[in-house]
Amino acid sequence: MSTLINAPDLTAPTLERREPSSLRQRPFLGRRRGLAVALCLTLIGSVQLVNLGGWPVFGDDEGTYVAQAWATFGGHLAHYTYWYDHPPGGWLQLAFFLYPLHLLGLQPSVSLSRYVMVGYTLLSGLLIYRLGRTLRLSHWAALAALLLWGLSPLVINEGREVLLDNIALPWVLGSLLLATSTRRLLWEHCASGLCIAVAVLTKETTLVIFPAVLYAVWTHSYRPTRRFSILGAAVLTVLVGLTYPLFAVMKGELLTGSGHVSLQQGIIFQLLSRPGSGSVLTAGTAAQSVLMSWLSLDPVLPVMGALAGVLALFVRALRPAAIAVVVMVAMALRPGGYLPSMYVIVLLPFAALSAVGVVEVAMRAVQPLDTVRSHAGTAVNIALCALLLLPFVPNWASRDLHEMSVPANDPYNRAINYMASHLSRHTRILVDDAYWNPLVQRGWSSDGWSGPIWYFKLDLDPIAFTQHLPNTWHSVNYIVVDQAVLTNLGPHTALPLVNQAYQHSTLIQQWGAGQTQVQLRKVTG
Amino acid sequence: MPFAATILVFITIALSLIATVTLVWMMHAWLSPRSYEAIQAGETLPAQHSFSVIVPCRTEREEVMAETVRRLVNQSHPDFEVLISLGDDDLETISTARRVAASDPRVRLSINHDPVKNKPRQLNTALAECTKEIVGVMDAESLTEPGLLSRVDTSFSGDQVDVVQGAVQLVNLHSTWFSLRNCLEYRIWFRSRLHGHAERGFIPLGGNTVFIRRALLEEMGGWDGDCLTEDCELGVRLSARGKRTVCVYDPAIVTREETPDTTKSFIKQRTRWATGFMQVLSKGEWKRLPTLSDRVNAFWLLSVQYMAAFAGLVLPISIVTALLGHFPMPVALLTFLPLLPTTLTVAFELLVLHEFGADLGVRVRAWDYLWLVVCTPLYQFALIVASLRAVIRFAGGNFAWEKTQHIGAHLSNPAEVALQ
Repeated sequence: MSTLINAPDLTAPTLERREPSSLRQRPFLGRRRGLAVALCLTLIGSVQLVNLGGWPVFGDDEGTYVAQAWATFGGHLAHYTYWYDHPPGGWLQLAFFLYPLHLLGLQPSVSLSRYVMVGYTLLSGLLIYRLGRTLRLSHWAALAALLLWGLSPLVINEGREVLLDNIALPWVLGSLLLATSTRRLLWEHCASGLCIAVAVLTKETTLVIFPAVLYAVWTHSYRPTRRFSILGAAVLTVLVGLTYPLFAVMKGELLTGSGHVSLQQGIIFQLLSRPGSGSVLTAGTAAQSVLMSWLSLDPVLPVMGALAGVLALFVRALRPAAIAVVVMVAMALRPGGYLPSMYVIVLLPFAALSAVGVVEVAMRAVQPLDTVRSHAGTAVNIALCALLLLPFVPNWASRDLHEMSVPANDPYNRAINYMASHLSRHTRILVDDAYWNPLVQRGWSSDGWSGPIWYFKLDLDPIAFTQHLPNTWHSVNYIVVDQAVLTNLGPHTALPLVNQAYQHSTLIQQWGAGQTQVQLRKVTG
Repeated sequence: MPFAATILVFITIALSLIATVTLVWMMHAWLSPRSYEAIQAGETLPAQHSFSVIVPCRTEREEVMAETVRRLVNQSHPDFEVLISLGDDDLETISTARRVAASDPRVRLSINHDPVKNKPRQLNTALAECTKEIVGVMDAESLTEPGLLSRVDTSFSGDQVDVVQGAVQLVNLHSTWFSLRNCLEYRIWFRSRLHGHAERGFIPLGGNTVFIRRALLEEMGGWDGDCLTEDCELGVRLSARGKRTVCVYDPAIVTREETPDTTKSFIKQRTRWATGFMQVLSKGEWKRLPTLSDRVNAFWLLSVQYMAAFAGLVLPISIVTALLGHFPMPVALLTFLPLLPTTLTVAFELLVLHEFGADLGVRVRAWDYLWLVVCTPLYQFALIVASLRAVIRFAGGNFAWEKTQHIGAHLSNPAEVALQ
């Protein structure tokens, strides 16, 4: 361990071996190296694409963002009242891709949107490789980081889902890539600030990466013009970030007031009043179950990455990635905070870069320098990379194959087909968000209240009771119960009306079993 | 309403574009390590050329003129002459100049007998009397450093150099409300922008601390005797012929000058510059530049930069319109876009002010940073007034010379004293 801690001294010769000028003049990717990256991305893309709509189960969050992207086609940020739960940057970007497809006749759905996510994942992959290079990883190490990330069952699982974090990720990586550019141009540092601002407007939690960006700009900028770089990055981040409160001001919704939603409320909900997930270290908390769900998919990358992140703090070149890891892990360990499962998405690329980076620094320490550039050196590098990845292969292979083959969404598809052929279009159905768009496409009302209804709106949206459903759950005809709905019901539920509807319902049909089970129930008021 | 929204979007994009292009030009020296290092001070080699320095004077005060000439004759360069250029009607200054010239045999008087009196005509008269290889122009209130000519000499030894533009710096930060911005403007122009323009091959020369090969100047027919900004006009003609200009910026040899003493004289000066640029634009020499992008660049530099002043006026109007006019939310949000480059410009200016203070040994106080921001709208307003006056004068064919009065504020500047 002490070898690793002493790593700063060992990185010095590593830095000298590479001529900065040749690095500067090289095109974005050299031809042969570009081919290697393309092959890796093809592999990652293929793994993502096979059984894309089959695994994992379509989540209600995915449905939320798809429906909100669909709502922007009509000039709205959501088809319910937009209440500042998240900034709208993510689904606006999603809409940017879905709208042309919509014009071509392909209607927005979670399964269609997952193809957009594959695009985002591949872009993130390319940026991970490039970022690895600017963090002074060798070509082979950067490729290893790319594969370590891209083939992790956890990344495949999370990366396929239509989540804001996946959309924010290339902006986060792009921001750090621009900040660490070897060309050290002022516009790159300004653009770096712009990118992290867009990331924050996509998913507000990426704000935790901002210290890493500032650090990277500070250490990678040209000393005489460093102040300009820092100020340029910071000013652009703040100004672009301010468009969100500006939007709220222009709608008269910045501060809490009676009769309208507000940004203030949204922030209070996300930061303070949202029930915390407890500590990851305490058994039985939501936070720990989220952690366990990550580790069950891939124990290697999160654990190795978190440890390597701490070690990488002592390696100057790796420090931007290390800061990102350490800050994110610290935020996750903070007791009482809210820890959602998608939180890990932005952490994993930096975990992979730190892990591979620390291993490479250690390898350089034991390997004689003169062999490094020779063919033998290359062979040793490949062998070591392979050796490094080998222990994970069996677990990963079986998990990856599982994700590439299990049709977990069969019950979902069959439920939708059943409803389409058996139910009247004039029925009100409480559904999880992922069902909303497919039912609207099949002829149900799209007003959010007289056709499919996001189930929690019944309890949580004040206008449900006052304007649309004065008889509350009695006005509802059916309820679709899947795992997402079930976890929110029970004696201590925050959704008493939905619970009532559920209690007063009879099973009509059910599909699947266990975690993927879907029930269609008729509400008998 | 869709029509109004389209207009508003168009205006917003135009404002953003103007502000962004202005910002990029302004930041030239700080954009990359390469451009920053390119502007670093070089070494001085042994002299290889000889210089005729023309000092155009009109109704100058004796102490201002005497100090300028005293500084010039103290130049370390071995081979130069100084010509004090005067108009035959300005008898008081002529007698002052005689007293000043008596101090050193290298100083001579050049009297212009033209019925029309202006700077370019005086310069042309003096040019005919120059005997040395390179002709330089120094304003009557310029304080030169002893190493200036030697450094310029070295720059002429470079590859195919036709013109050397030295740097001028205003240093009286606190004389008037606009002095701070004015000083900063000069700093940015000579420290940064001008180098970008020289690199781009199109440069409107300054009228002070500018050096040109005499043979080339004679071949070009000297200065345009009817142009209000003869310096810019000459630069455009030289650029159109592909002549190479090198800019020198080194705090150790920068020429010190004073800002105009009153708001009125500041506006007069800017009116003259703006009218002059319009003259240069309408003369059309810039159309002889080889490529379309060169011509667009020249057109931008000679005209659109005056629109930047108007941008400051239009921006708040467009935002208020968007807020009160019930425009669609994306349109209303978009009207804030020009604030991005504008705010960034002011933020960078604060850093340039800091660098300026450190470089020239001028004390910049916390209040100065605040004032720089606070006086921005006022300064913009003064520029708008000057631009409007210029348009009116240009349309009416009024090209009379409004001379800037020199009171010698830069002589008593504490920083100046410190440097001596």
